[in-house]
Amino acid sequence: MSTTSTPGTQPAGKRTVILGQVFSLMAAVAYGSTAVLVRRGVTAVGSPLVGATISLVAGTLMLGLLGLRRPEKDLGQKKRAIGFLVISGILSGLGVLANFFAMSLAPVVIVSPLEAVSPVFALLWSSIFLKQLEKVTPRVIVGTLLVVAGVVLITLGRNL
Amino acid sequence: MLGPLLALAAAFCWGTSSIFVRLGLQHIKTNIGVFISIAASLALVVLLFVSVDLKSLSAITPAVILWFSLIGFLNYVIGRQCNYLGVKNIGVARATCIYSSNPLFAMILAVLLTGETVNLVIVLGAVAIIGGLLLVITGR
Repeated sequence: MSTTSTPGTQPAGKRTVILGQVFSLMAAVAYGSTAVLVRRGVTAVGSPLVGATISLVAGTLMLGLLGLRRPEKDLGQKKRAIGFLVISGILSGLGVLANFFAMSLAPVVIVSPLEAVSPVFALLWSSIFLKQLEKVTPRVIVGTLLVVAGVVLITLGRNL
Repeated sequence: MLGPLLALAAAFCWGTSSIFVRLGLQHIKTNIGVFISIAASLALVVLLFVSVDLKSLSAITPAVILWFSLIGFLNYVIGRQCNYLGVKNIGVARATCIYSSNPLFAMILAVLLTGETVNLVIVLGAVAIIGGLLLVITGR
C-alpha cells in the first residue's frame, strides 16, 4: 500500500489507506456514471447550465437534509476550515463555468484533453503547499501522468 | 484561443480546489465540508444561469428535474462525498489521481448501456489509466 501522511507526522494506517483508495475509486465510478447521464440529459434539455443548476440544487438539498442535523454546532466554531471549503467550492464552481464557456468556444476534442490535466495541478500544489501533510513519491507522479495520458487518449478515441 | 485557455483555467480551478479541501477537512466533518463547498459552487452557477440562460427555464419539466436530481445525488451526495473522504484519508495527490480515472468508468458504462464502440486509441487509454492506478494503489 502507498504510504501517506496524516495531518501530523504519523504515517496513515493501512486501514485508512485502503479506505481512502476505495472511496476514491467509488468517486471515480460515481463521476463516470454521472457523465453518461449528463450526456443524455443535456441532449434532451439543450442547456448544460439548466442541468448543472438543477443537479447542484438537488445535491445541496439532499446533503443539507442528510448532513446538517445541528448546523449551529457543526458550523459554529470552525471559521477557518469553512473558509477553505468555501474557496474550494468557489474554485469548483469557477471550473464549471470555465468548462461551460470553453465548450461553447472550442470543440470537445480540444477542451476535454486540456481539462484532463487537472490532477497535474493538484499534484504540483500538493508537493509545494502540503509538504507537511502528504508525501508525493515518484510512483505517484508517474501514476498521475499515466492516468492523465489515458484520459486524453480515451477522449480523443471517443471523438475519432 | 480563448476556448483552450478557459479549458486550462477549468483544470487549474479543479486541481487547486482539492488543496483547499484537504486543508478544510482537517478540522471539519466530511459531510459538512461537502455541503459547504457545494453550496458555494451552487451560488456561482445560479448566478451564471440567471445572467445568461434564463430563457432555458421553459425547458424544465418534472422529468428533467427528476433526471438531474438523480445526477445531483450521484455526483454530489455519492461522488463528491467519496472524493472528499479519499482526499481526507490518502491525501490530495493520490486521491485526485484515482478519481480522475472516471472517464474509464464512463467509457465502460457507455459501451455497456449505449453500445458505444471501442477503438485502439481507447484501449490504449484504458491500459494507461489502469497502469497509473496500479502504480498509485500498490506503491510503497
